Amino acid sequence: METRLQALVFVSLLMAKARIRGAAFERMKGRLERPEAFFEASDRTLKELLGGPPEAVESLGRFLKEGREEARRSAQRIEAIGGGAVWQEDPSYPKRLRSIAGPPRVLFHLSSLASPLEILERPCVAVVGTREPTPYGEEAAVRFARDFARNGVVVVSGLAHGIDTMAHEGSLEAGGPTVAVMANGIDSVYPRENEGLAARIRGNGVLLSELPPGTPPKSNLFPARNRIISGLCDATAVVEASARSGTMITAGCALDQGRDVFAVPGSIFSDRCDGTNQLLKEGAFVLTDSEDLLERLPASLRLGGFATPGRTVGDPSGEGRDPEERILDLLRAEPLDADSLSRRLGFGIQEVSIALVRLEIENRVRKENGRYRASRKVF
Amino acid sequence: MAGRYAEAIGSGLQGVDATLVRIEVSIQNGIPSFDIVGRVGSDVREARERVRAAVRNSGLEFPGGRITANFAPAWIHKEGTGFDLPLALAVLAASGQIPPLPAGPSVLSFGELSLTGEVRGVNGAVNRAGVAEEGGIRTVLVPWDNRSEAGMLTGLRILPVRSLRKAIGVLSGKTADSRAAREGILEPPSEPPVVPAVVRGQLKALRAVEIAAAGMHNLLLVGSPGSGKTLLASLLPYLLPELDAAESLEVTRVYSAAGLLPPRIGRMRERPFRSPHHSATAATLVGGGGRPRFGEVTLAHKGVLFLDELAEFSPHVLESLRTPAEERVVRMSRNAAQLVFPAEFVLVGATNPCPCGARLEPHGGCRCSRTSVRKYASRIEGPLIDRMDLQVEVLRVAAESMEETVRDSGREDLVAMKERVARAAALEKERNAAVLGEACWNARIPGDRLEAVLGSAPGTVAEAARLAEAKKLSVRSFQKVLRVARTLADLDGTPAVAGNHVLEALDYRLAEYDRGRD
Repeated sequence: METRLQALVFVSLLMAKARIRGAAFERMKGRLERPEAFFEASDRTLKELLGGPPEAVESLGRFLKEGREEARRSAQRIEAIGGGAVWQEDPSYPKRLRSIAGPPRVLFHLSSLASPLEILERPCVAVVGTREPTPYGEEAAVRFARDFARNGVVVVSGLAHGIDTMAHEGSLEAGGPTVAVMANGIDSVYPRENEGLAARIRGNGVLLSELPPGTPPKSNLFPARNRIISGLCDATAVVEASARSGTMITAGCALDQGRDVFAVPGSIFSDRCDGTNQLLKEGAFVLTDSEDLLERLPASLRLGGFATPGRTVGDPSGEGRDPEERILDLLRAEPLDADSLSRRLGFGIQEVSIALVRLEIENRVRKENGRYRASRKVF
Repeated sequence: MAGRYAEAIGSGLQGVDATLVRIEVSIQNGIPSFDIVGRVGSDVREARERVRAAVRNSGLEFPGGRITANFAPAWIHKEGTGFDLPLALAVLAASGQIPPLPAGPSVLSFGELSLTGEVRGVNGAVNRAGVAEEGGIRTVLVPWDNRSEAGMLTGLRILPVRSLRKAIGVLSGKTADSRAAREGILEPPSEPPVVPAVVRGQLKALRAVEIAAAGMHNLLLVGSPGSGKTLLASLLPYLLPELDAAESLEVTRVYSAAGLLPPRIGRMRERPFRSPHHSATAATLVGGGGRPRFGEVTLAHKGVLFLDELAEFSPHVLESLRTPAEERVVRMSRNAAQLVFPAEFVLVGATNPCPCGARLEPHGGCRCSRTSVRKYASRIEGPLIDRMDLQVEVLRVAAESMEETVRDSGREDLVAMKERVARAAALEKERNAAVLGEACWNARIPGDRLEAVLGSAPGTVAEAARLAEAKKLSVRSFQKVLRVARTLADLDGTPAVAGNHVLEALDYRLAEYDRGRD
């Protein structure tokens, strides 16, 4: 098994570092067939199989000096952190992904689950969007991700800031597994702030990447990653995206792959919603309720949801209850700053401060950009 | 030789401090000349021409012969035009035109002379007059224009004079009118400022300003452009407890020496508010130069130093603030002398939340990446941020409270706030004096004495520590929280700091600006 992993790392390095892709790779694969054969083949065989312009052969030669050793080391590292890899022709390779044009040859995965790739055969929905969402977008991402997860749908996203983070969080909160497809090697996390989130995803989900371990994140790697996100999924839900953004690339990939695209309508004034609104104009499905999407999934794919206890809804009158509960009630509806809370509830700013600090310490609210929002805890 | 020698006492200014200068004049036979010796600057040497003309134009005779004036002590460098008057008096006494000034030090005088013999005001009059007592002198002749500031000194006979002739008259006992020094002084009424509309709806930010005023806590305001940060800061000089007589004198000394006293009032009754531009150099901020000038920190003494656009200041400029902020003085060496400038101020910093400034706006427009936001916050020197006891976000006034901003002038609120601050400050000073032996502000309570000053029930501090831990505060932040909690209890008028004070204090720490973390 060790040699298998080595071989898969070697193949991914061959593509990433020696830049052997497309037709050239197909030609080699036609002869060598198995990844192990790539690893075991002599330098000379590999060069002969590559053929082509002398620069390409030269570049391969340079790569081969260190390539096998690097593959060995990386394979060791992946094994040490509990990761693995799958070859495009393996039976465990995600089926939906196999059917796209240009599927990843090698897919690295990192997870604490016993059979991590199995969840990718469940109904999957990509929830993607801008890295700089509005509070509306964040709420929407969390809500849909949570609803999908409760209905047994696996939420797939890209571990980026903003909507991606909210999508993973929403799914995890509802107890559903979630999948993060990264645009860097499986052995690192980007952005660093999401290391904690990545660790939780490992616990109940999978981190995926087609890139060899040690690959740093680079903007030119993101579009290729996006095709994997949409390719893994039955449908892609876009929550807030500007017209020129990576998210729109994901939506484009989904359409190319023949998957449904859903978009959450946004403000016509916000430049963070012009992408989603444009998708709607072009005929994307409108997503205002999770049922909009769930009912489009093939019936056979709808599994039983993850059980979640019902939420307690606050007493609507609100009078006579302690400030913390009343503040929470308001914050569940929308994020607010301390001044607005003080005014709406008629509490002095001191009382509001005290209540908010209590709530913050108990992790029931969190502050972002000067406003407080109720934490999305499942009570 | 008898009658050909006389002395007078003047005083010279060095920074904020003055020293007595004995002016000895000797007239000898020989080719007429007039020399000044004793380590004097060129502006002092120019006094010769002014004195000669002023004496003649006052209807007196300028003596012939070889005149030598010696300024003692000779090791102190002397500058400025304040020696004209005592020099003229010494020359006149030496030439026998006025009775010799009483033996031994008895009268201190200073002032610049015009060619017609008028006595003009000089910088640092109150500082110069203030050293009289050091030399056992009780009587001081001061320029008429400087009478207001000099009148702040109690226990001295201050005799304001308008001209050289008047000065001679006063010395001979003809027209001694020391009351003039205490009259005709304009006392500005302490009128509450009109609270600007944009900050009236700012409940939390105003609360932070109130707390800052009550405990002299440094304050960081983080907010969008136009949210009213500058206006909030400018309320502080009014809200801070009024200067007492001794403090007013201290501030007046600085402003007098800098030549920045308000013209007619001639005293500093209100706390200064300084807001240097972010292009300021370290020398502008802390002072310096060959002839040392006061920096903004000294001009903000007993008042407020407001640094807007904190992130735009160059890091080494902010770095230079550290020592003065800690020691409350600026020290420098010039001309073999150690100068110490006072610099005790409340520091108020304002910064945008992100490079574009729109991060806290409700429906955004902020496209700054997280990395750039973090970088922007970290542009501000950590050690400086560490000195900010209170950190608060200032949001633009929400639509629902716009109405409040046009209702009334908000003066009543401000007056009530000022009263609360004054009560808290009185409590605070009394208690700190009793517990610490020094009537210091809460912001200055030493870390190791905090527990004693808090007077809390057992367990409160431990509980506070647990809360701070839950909010992931650094140790340094924790101490600041306790100092602010002390002030909150003082605002409440309660002797012991309770749990709620700690909780409220915790709300004035911003995670983004806690540098002691991780």
